[in-house]
Amino acid sequence: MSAFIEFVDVKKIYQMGDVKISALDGVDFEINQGEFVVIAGASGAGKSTILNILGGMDNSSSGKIVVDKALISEMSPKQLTDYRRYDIGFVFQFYNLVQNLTAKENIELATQICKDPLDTDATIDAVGLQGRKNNFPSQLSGGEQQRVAIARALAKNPKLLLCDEPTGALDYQTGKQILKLLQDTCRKNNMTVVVITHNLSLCPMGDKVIKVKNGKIISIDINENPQNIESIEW
Amino acid sequence: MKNAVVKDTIREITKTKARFFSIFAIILIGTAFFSGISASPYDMRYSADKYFDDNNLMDFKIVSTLGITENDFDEIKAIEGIEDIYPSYTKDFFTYVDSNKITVRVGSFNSKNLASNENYINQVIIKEGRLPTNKNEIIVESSKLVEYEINVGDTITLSMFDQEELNDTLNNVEFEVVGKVSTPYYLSYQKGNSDNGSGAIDLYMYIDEDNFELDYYTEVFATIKNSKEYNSFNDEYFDFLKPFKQDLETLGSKQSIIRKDEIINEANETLNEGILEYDENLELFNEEIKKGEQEISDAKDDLMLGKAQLETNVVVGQMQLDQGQMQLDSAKKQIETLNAEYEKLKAEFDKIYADKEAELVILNENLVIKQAEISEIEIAVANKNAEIALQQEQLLQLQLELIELENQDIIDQELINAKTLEINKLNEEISLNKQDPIFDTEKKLKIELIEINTKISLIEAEISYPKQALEILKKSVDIANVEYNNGVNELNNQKQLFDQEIAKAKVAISDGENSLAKASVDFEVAKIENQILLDDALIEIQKGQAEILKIEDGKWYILDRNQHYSYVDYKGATDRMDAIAVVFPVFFYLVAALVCLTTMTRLVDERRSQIGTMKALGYKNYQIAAKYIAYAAIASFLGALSGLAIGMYLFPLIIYNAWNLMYVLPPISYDFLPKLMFISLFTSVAVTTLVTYNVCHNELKENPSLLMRPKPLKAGKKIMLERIDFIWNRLSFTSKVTARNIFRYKKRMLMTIIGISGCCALLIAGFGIKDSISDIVDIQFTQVLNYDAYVSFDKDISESVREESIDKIINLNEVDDVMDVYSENAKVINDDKIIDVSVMVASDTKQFSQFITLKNRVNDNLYSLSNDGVAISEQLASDNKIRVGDFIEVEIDGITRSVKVESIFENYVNHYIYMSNTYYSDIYEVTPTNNQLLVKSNELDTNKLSVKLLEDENVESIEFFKGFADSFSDTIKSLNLIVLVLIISAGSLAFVVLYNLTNVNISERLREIATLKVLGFHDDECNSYVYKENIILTLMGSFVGIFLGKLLHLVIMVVVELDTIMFGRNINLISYIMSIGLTLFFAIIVNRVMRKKLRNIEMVESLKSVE
Repeated sequence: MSAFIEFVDVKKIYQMGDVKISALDGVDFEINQGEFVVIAGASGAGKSTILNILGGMDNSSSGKIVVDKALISEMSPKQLTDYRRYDIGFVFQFYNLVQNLTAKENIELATQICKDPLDTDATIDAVGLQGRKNNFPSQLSGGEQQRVAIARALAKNPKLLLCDEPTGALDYQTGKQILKLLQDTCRKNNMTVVVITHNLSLCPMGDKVIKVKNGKIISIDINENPQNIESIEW
Repeated sequence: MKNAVVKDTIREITKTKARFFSIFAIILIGTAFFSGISASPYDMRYSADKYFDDNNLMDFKIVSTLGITENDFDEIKAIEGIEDIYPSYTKDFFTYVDSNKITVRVGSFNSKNLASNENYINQVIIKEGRLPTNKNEIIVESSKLVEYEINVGDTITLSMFDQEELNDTLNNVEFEVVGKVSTPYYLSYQKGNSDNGSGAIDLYMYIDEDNFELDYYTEVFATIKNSKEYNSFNDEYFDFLKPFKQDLETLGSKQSIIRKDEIINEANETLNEGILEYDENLELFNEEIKKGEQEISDAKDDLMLGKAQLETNVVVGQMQLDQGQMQLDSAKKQIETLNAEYEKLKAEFDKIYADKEAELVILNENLVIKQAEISEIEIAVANKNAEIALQQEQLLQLQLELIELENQDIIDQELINAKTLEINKLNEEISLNKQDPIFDTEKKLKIELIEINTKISLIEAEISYPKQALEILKKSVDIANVEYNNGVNELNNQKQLFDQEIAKAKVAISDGENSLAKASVDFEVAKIENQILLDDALIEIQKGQAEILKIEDGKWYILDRNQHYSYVDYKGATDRMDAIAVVFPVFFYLVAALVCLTTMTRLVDERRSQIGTMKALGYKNYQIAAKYIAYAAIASFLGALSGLAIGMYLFPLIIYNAWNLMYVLPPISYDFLPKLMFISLFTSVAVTTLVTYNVCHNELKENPSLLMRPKPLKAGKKIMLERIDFIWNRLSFTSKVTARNIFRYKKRMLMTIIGISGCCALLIAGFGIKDSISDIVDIQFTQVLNYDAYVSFDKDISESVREESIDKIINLNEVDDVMDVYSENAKVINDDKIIDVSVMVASDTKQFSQFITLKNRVNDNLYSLSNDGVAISEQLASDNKIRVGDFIEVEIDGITRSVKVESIFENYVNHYIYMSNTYYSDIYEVTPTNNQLLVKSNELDTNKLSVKLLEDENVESIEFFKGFADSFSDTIKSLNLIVLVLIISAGSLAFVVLYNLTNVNISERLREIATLKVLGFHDDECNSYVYKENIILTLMGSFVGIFLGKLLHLVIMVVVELDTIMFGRNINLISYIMSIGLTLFFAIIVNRVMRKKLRNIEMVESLKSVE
């Protein structure tokens, strides 16, 4: 049985005038279903590019990407849109909520375009925002906004949850809570979660930790016993 | 530092081309509209003034109540500053074109002096053909709007109502059209009203002045030196002319007195001649009377003399007759005496000669017997002689035969002998016959006859003398008897003759007596008659004297262009354009300000942290703001310059040409308007810089630390709509976002709604103008006036003849129905204003409603004619602020009465007053006499119907509405240009506004859109997220635009309306639909253009940090 996600010799080259910049220079890894994966690396190491390509937001220059048997690397823009629409949940660093919609509406914004969404209210309850579902984003704190964002991603009932520095804009305590939510989601729902961070201290919580540097994978470690987020300090 | 700011500004511009373009474009449109429309009236005036100057339009027109003489010309010319004068005649006539009777104003034209006077006043410009060269030629108005077809080569016959006046005015009435012209003297389709009472002037024409028979020119045109340096639509022109006007007025009052004296002298002369003639006639009369009386008395004397003569003649004649009788009687006596003598002599004669007579008778008897015997014997002698002659012939024959026999060669002697024997025998017989006794008897008888004759002669000689004497006597008796009988006859004749003559003479005398009596009566009658004539003449003379005393002081009227119809009319049009020029620009500048506001607000927002940084670096507020102000100023300055160039060229051209549908003017000449250009430029730049300053000011108020942090996004808010659950819950999220977004940015909403409503309003106004103008013909001639033509009859025909003609017309196949009405040109007197109207009086109000629809335009209520008041047309009411229930003064046929307005009805062409027969009779106390026949026809070919109707010689003219309708449809075609311009303007307005809105929205929602893309929204779902807002705002703008458009349309219609034509106020539903449709179309085009921009948004944008 092959892996749920497969990256085979994936390269991404940006043409900047006469200069070619290689953002990914032959990346290979595999992720299994239900794994909580942390991709870590410094700024500009290529982790965001991996996320973009994996999330169907960008194309690789060469190489093969398979997600749940689908060949992402060969998809047309239209197919990629559907891939994002039905298969991917995305959590942004800056939450990216629609300011003009309430928390609940922001979630519904995502669910209305899905085939098999989760119940909105249940999802809101799940992220612990029972009392605030009718508030606008500006009326919520950063953590609450990120919870809404996670709820929005989860409610789509995606195959894969991609999180781009989900705690980057949050304070320590709130960041922890958010990571806990993600980890719980992974465990409870058998959801495959990929978290991108520059914070190496988050590595112990992942089932699998992929470290990136200069567009290349420098290590793939499998944690037999991932730690709970509560026990990690940074 | 300065360089850095400049560089930064330039870079800013190149980086944000779309925004720069937004400001540039809206300012371009705004300035183009403002400068273009504002310049239009100036260019209209400038072009018209140039036209006036080029063709030498008069500065003054001088008319006088007493006429202007040659002497006056010299005096006018002598005034300092007068450049030229041009005397002319002007009179109104009517003529027929096809079957239409039209009123024409005919001016005079001096064709002889044309070569030497090329710069004559009020020049005509030849459009077709040539100028007249002799007095039988005419030139006519060349106009786009004239419905009457007159071509070069046609013949025109001028006439007047009063034939005598026509004869006094013109010495020639038939002309050949040789050219078609235009002139600055008449600019418009409307040329004012005729002074001969037949309503508006339809056409103007010019003929050679030699055709006019008038004693003096009706007016003199004058030009003033240097007046062309002024624009005659400005006050300066009139200020400049003021002193000359005063000079002319002074001269006028002086010349008027001279002219008055002249006229009085002339009149006195005529009067004196009259008096002289009267005196002469009086004398003649007296003489004639005397002569007549003498003649009558002479005739009496003659008659008496005749009677006396007759009596004398009778006496004398009788005497003569008596004398004749006496003479006859004595003659008879003489005859008797003579006869007695004759009888005596006869008796004596008879006694003496009786024997002789008897003997003579016997002798004569014997003579006769003897003569008979002789005749008998002579016959026998002749027979004997003939026998002898025959025998002698036989003898000769025998002798010849004998000779022959003897001469034969063989002589037969026997034969000769026989012959000889025979000859001898015959000789014997002959001689025997010659001795027959008969010859002796004959001789004896002859001798006896002679004896008897001799005896008779002897006796006769014996009695012949006495017999002769007796016969002579007898003859004289007979003659005397004949003479006597003749005398008796003659006397009887004379007697008869005499009696006849006497009778004749008696008749003659009695005739004489009769004629004398008659002559006396005649004489008396003639005397009285002549006396009356003389008395009348005396009265006339006295009247004349009184009239001379009454001759008023003459007055000169010095009329300048302000009293010239065409000038005033055109000036009014330009003034109304001024009014429009105020409405449009305010609107466009409002939109420009809003576009500039939203654009600059966004720009400044985006540069917030930069501003904060600069502030932190120590830049002063104004230095920071300078960049943005410069940005806006450059965009608006460039936009304004382009707008000026486009607008001041394009709009005046279109507007001028649009007005030229109604006015005849040469192509446009542009006025140079630095003031307007400066104001346009200044306003444009000022609006944008002020807005920008305001935006910067709000931003710069905050302190740098706050500025360097991202501006908190405007919070989402619940909107009213959310309270209505059942709607809100049904909305999709994009709709919800759209709804909230619309209300979140009120400035943008306002800008878009105003801009789009403006776009829609322009479109509605554009289509509406076309609807309103094109529909009036249809409404007026098919819905208001349901009849097709009206027929006028010869005025002189009797009522019964007229009825007959009407019957004939009714019976034509082509005619459906007719209505006989009384129609008259009338005047409405409103304060000091006099308005010409048509009055129609109908007897059958039910039939009337079938021919003319009286309807309230607003609520569609129908009216009918009542007996309590009149119905008046809408424009008449609205122009003069007349309301239902008001009383208005109406003068009909010289009688002015106050009538009550009962209803005001929809009507577009001309002013009408309708009333019932009863009301008219009540108020005017006159019974109306019908003079016009309204005709409904099913015949589409007007010529055919016209020919049919004109077959009746009592039909004087037929006027069809079709011609009017046709000429109007040409006008409407030209309106398409205006509609096109409005569509383009509207389109560009919509484009700029929507482009700007979309641009700002996209730049602001870049992150949201990128997020949506990451969430897996398809392209069209992303598009609708942005464009739903555009479409909804466009719809809202269109909705507002409907009302704005209606208002704009109303304003334009009222402003451009003519005096006697009310344009419609209606806009067809299809026009609304098209306007909104086009507005949406513009919105969709903008969306299409911007779609690419949306597609190109990178999803990576969503990952960027918030600035």
